[in-house]
Amino acid sequence: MKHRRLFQQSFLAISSVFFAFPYLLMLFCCFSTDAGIKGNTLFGSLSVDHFLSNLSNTFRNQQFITAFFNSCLVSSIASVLTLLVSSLAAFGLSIVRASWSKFLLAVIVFSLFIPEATLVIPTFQLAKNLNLLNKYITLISVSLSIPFSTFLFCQNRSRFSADLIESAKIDGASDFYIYLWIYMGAMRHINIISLTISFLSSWNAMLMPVILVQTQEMFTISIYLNSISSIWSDDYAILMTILSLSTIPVLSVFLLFQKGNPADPGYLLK
Amino acid sequence: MRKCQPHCGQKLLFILPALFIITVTIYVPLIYAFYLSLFGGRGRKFEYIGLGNYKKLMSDDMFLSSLGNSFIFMVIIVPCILIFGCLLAYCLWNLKSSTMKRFLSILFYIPSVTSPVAYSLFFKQITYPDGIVSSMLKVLHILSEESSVINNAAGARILISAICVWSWTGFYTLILKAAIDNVNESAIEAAGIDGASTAKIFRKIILPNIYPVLIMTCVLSSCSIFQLYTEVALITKGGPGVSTYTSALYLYRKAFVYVSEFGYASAIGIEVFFVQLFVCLVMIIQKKANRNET
Repeated sequence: MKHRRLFQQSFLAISSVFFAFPYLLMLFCCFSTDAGIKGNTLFGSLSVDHFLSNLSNTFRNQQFITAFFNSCLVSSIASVLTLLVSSLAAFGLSIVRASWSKFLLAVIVFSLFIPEATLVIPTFQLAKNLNLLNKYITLISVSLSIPFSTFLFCQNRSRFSADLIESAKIDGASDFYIYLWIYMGAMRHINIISLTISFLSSWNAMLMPVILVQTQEMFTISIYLNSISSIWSDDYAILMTILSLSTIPVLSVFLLFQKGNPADPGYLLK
Repeated sequence: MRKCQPHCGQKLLFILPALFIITVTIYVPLIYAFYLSLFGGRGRKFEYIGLGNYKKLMSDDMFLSSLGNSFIFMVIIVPCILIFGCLLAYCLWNLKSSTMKRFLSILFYIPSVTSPVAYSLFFKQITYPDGIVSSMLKVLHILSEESSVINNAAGARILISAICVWSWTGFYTLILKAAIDNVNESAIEAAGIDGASTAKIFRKIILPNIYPVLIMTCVLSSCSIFQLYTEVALITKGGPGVSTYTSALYLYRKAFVYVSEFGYASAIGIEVFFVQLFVCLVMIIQKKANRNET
């Protein structure tokens, strides 16, 4: 019995090292210099001064700042828009006739099965023909994750009972009033999850943005990282600092949501 | 039916924005992809060739080897995720302290929310000839002086698989843990009192109960493998040779790197779509068969 527990705990400990190791290494690299990393003396060269100089070098990089700003802008707008549109749709689905709602939900959910790779070429062609390349509106519209979000809202329909609608109706509330004040309130946990997921997926999106954006002023962080991957070989320490900084918003959004919601992170996935 | 008429249209208005956006960003491009895939020609020249692109695909060595690579990745990655994920989920489930449980769940999940571009770039840097991992392996004499982790086919495939396992396992661990949480606890306790070993409890009680979730894990991870792009594009660029080429990377190159063949690239996209649809169908059939059995 004791051996078993010991085995399990050491397995968990080793696995957590496996999962955390890349992050730790990345962090250490931020505190080191290029020469230190390449010369295999990573741990000997750690110092806060190096970190500060890496940081100031990174922030002197105008392209990085622009890309960071663009990513923040696109992801925030995309996640708010996703929340609004998908909650409206899910509310609509819960009040229309059952046959309609089943059919429309099937249409929405089926779009989840279509791989991004299939859509890359036609989206590019359409955007090119409509003169929509290098525009915020294009970036935002491909970053929306409405199908998944709508599905999430519909899955959790039970939080919002039909009695609530009935009693609100008797009190003379309009459909939109019910949506805004009752539905959104009953679904506040799902709202947070939907916001988090859509923020994460649009921040991390890579394939679509890369083909839809060609000018540097419009680069998002993923495209920027992709572009330096082919040319950058000078300074590891600064690269690692850039990587760490680009990961911070995603991690903070994720952890913030964790704090606000007592549910298991597995909840994100259902 | 008539009773609902005046309100029905108004209620559908709620769904309209979502339907509009999904149609414009997903269904229209999908249909357009079908249409484009019927055209051949390079660059700006387009000519209608019917199903010619699909015929060409069937004899295209690059495409076939990219599919083959996806299958190789599937054979390596899916079992790793299943075994590793199940073990982690079981150990997590067995933990007493709930703070520890929460902390570890978050820790395991973090790679899944990290940007693939960021971690791919990181792994690329540390596995290049002068990167940390390569230098460590050289110090340990596992690698010879001139080579690096990614300039031999086996090394590159193992590296890509390891990265995928690292980034995806957390997600599936949480799904599996949720499934184990739903297993009837009294059955496990009863078996424990009867003297069954941990392995036996796991095999005879937990595994059959989480079987549907295991299949879902297989299917979801296989789908992601067929769409693998960022990791291979950034780390190995499909090489050495074509040993880590995937369909998505081939599609991207055909359309945007070489002389563009949009028709042909769309045909690759449609193939990827059908492969994925096929995998999902297998899952649904399996699930139905399973339900009939019980």
